[in-house]
Amino acid sequence: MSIRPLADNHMIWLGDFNRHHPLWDEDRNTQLFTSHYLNAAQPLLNLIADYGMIMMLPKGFPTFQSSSSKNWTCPDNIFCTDHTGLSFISCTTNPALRGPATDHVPILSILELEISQATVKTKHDFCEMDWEIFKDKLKFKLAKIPPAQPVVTDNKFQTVAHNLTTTIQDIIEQVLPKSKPNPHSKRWWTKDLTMMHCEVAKLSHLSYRNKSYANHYSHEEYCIKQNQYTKAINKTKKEHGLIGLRIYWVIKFGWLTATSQLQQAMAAYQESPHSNKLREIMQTPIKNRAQH
Amino acid sequence: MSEQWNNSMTRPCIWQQNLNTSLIAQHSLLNGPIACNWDLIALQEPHINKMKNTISSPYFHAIYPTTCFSSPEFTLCTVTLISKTFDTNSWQQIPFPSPDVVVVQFLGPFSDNVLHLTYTMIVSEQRPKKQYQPSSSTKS
Repeated sequence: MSIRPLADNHMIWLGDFNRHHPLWDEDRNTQLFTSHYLNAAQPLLNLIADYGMIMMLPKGFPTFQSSSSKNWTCPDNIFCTDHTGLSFISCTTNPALRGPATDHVPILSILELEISQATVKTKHDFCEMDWEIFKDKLKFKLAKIPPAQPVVTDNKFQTVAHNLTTTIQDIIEQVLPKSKPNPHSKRWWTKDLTMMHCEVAKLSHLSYRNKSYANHYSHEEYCIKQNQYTKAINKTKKEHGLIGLRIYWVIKFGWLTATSQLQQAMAAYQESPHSNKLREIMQTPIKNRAQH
Repeated sequence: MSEQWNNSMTRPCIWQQNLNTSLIAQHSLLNGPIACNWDLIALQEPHINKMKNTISSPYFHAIYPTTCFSSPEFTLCTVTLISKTFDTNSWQQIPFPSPDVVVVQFLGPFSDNVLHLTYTMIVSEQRPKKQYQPSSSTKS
């Protein structure tokens, strides 16, 4: 199968090419423009010329910070065919969204090319409901409805039911947030982690803006906050594993019989979730397990 | 069923990043508040577990290099996640003889003549950790 059968087809190359050249690296990084690096970049340049590609990420947008020297370089890039360049709405980096435990910055692109999509119906998210506001609004609205009276006819019953239903539904529409279908979350992911993510992103942005000032307070704060975020992700995930382990033991052996063995297993799990000790405890028959 | 399929169109939003094989970085990316805004996530050096799988979510199609099953001894250096909100008739993976490249072809009315379908190809390329030698049949 041909990758690009027609000349007017669009083609985009995204990648961490790990090459340095004055065409995309900042001019101040002269130590990267030696013959060794330039020769290494030549095959990539040949490919770019052969396929008539253009570089979409502007020159000097750093995408990588060396963990040792803290120097910023541009090994990641985006190339596209020349007529595809008009379809790019934006192509930029965002150091604030770098995330923990990685030294590369994401490159974010939005294209004008339209692709068929499936839409998802939004639903009411009752978990996020503020019930106090709901009660207050409902009380206020219900006060406008004529007071309750004995319902004697079918028509009267239908009218009262319709009024009540409409009122409640109106309040739900006003107060209840729509569930944003964000199904990317794991079950163990919490709102606290999301808040920490935002805090780390802010500090990352601040640190990047002050990258010229080596002693700026934001660098240290960013480093501390990023470590805290990393630890929080690990801890939350591990605790979720412990809850799952607890449920498994209670279901399999009953709470009373499982308690002492559960403590051993949890201690082993906290040491290392994949340890042989935990595996041995889990695989040992229930009668012999007290000996551990 | 909460999903309803129609022919609405969307502009693809692409996130490209090298994650240094970090599990934490990948969790943070996929579970954070920003993941829902991106349709294509091209990852270089994603986290690969012992089963040679990466971390994803049920709402992305994880596209591995086509050699990941034929040459499992080579470390996977790239994975592309495609949102399941894209119509699956609008894209396909194209075989490419490298464990470091994923090629995806998108179909759509991209030219002035709507009836004429043209293609978009997204390539995630990454420096190989272990040099891959294509077989002689591939070279020809």
